[in-house]
Amino acid sequence: MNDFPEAMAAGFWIVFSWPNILYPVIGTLLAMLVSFLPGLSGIMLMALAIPLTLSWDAEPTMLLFGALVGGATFMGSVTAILFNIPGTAPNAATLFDGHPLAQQGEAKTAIACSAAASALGSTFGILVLVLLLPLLSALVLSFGPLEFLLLALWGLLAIASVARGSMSRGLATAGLGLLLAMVGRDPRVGDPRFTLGIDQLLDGLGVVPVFLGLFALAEIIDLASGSRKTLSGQQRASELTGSVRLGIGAVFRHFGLLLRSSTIGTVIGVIPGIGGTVASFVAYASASQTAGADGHFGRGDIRGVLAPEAANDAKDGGSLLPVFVFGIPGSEGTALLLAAMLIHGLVPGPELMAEQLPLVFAVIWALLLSNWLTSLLGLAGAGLCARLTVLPLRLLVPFLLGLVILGALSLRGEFFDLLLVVLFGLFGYALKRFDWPRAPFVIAFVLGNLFERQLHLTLQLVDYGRIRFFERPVAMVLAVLIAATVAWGLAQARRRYRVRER
Amino acid sequence: MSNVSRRVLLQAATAAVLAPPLASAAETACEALAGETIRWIVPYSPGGSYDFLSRVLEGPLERELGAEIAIGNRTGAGGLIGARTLRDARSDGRTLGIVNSSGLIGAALAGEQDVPSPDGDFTVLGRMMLIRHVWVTRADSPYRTIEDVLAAPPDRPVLFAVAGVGSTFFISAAVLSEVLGLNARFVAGHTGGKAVRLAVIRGDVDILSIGFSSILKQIESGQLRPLLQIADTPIADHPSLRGVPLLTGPQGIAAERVHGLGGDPKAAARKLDALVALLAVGRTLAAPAGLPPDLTACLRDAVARALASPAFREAASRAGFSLSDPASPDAAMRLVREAAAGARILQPILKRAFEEIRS
Repeated sequence: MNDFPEAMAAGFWIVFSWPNILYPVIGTLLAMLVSFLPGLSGIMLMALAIPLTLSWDAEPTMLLFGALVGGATFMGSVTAILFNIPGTAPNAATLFDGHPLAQQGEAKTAIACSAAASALGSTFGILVLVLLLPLLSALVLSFGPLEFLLLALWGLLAIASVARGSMSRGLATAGLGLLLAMVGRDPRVGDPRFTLGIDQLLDGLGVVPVFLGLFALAEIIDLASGSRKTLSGQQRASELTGSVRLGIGAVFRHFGLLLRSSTIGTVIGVIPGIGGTVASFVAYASASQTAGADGHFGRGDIRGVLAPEAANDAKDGGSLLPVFVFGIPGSEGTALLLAAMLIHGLVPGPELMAEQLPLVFAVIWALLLSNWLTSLLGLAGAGLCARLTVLPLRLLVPFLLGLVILGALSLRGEFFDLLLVVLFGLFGYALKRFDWPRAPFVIAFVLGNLFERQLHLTLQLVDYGRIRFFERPVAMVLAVLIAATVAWGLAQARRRYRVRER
Repeated sequence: MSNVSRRVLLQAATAAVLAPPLASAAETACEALAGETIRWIVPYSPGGSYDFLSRVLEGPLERELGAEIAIGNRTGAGGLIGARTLRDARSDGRTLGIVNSSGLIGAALAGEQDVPSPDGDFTVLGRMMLIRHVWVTRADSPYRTIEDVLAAPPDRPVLFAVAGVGSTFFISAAVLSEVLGLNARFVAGHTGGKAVRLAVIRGDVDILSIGFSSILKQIESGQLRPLLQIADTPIADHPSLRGVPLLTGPQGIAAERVHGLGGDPKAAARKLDALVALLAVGRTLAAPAGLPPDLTACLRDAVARALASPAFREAASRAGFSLSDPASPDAAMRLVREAAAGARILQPILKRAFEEIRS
């Protein structure tokens, strides 16, 4: 293990030498470009890069893939904040509070906060990755069905806090979210449920089309039918109140939350197969639960931008671990990274960690570089992006509509997805118009699947005597967290009740 | 016959007249594709082996045909949507792709509706490789040998990790536990290949039946070890397989076990051969059914040459796919037929297993 610092330095110089540095930089810029379009992502770029890099050396290939695998995820938050269009599914958790901020003229603050949270979150994730490398297998293996189940339950508890204000409406939309999460094959046997005989529904309702409709299209309808002239209500850029300094400052003001969200992101990243959407939603949920009385989550609380973005980018560092150590990728992106590694003779496992450590670190550095580069460019462009909120809506609305349609179709070239977007757009608009909360719906929709599947697996394994709660420390920690969250929520509710009584 | 295929035939005929007399009709049929764009359908998303192998094959096949190949991922319903798209495309050589024949047969057995038949709905052009399953268990599992598994006591059943009921993980586990009289249970509900692997590495379950080359990495890194080769001859010359018993054939454990249970070894052997064929047949390269014969012939040649090209073989074998036997297109087609016929033999067993899992 004492080769670690040396390998880190060697890896650093692999990345930051000429012309090597070009690969991650070009990869990042390309990924930034495509991530504006919902549906397209770095994944597609990586798939296209596989045949391209067949004849390349291992080093440049790994640098390119390191940059593509997690780079530019922050860009998706820019469209989420500005237009309610999540660039990638994980960014959907950012729009709950990011977009209201933009409407209040604070887009600059929100974008800067998202950029800073992304950069620091990814740094945190990578730091943990490096520190944990030796302990990794134990950590990955300590998460089984029971732990996933408790994690999903913890996230679902947040419905109570995001529904604050109108609990009955919140519970109703959450119930609907859980129901719609059940569309598709049942997780145990694979029998189709609620698919109305439509093939495209066999894999369930796609997260991206649902989000695009529920938020982006609903917003576009609202903008087009409302009386606002611009997104922020301001006519001139000079009237916008947000600032980059405020956004970055927010990250340091809520440093504890940054650490907590990054931890959530890293842990979820390390566990193969859960993914960034769950990471950012659980982080958002956790942030909103502990916001206390002064929180105004869902109406433009900067913490609602910070938490999911930090978690989403912290996840990338974590998600590399299972690939390097086990050769088991947790996402499509890391699966492609794995394929590229194998083609170039890098076989995951103890040997890779012993003999190719500098190259492993080069991938890690490339990922870090990519995250920082995206964030710095994001900071630099925050003002310019914020100006879009003073653009006349009659110009903006057709452009956004085009973006949504293109995004829906580019997802998998399925016209049906566009239909879903329209359907959920109308539904989302109705919810917004009549003041029903959408966050409980989305949290239930995102976590419902994970919850149901892991419940089935856990029950089977308990039946066969393979899971014993008191032999599983991670499960016990999660159970304590759940109990504490419930207790905290009850205490809060009681205090509010007393205040009202007086 | 559709307009397009008539056009192709016409073009082919014209080309045949104009071509130098030595060129065969088959070669000229493919010349009509030169400069064209061929849609290549992958029924799974990027990040999986189907997508990966297609992208590695893309270059060599483009060079063979002089055509542009555009890979399109038509995902959904466990590969069914992509397979249907390929089945329903025009058979003019401009839409080709890869289908999971084992998966399609499995889906049909599981009672899925409108499943394309690998035997009747496609023109088989070749196959990527033969898939042969091994049973793997965790390195420190109490099951040291296959005998330990066969002797599992009634109060501690052997647990198998399975994904959907049409998955080969499930088909293999279900058929073998019935034929070998195992005290086995299936833990169902895993999302797919990644999840079942983790389940057995974590030790939630005891055994996973999976293609040897897909699990090689975990075997080589010492997390998993093979217990049984689902084959009649050694799957590969790999140190981890030395001393690992075979299932069928003269040295196979099946005959003795079935005999010991008082079963009919011949009937059992038929079932097991059907299983081996069904597991082997994944990753079939195909075009829609009804491809003109000369076009079929030249596409088969082109695919075979691309599969044999050093560019493809090097990239695929470095990524851990064992390519020991470049099969002739005829052999590929025969295997698809065998697998489809075998599925009928296995149907009653699988039906019982489905019912057990559904209850």
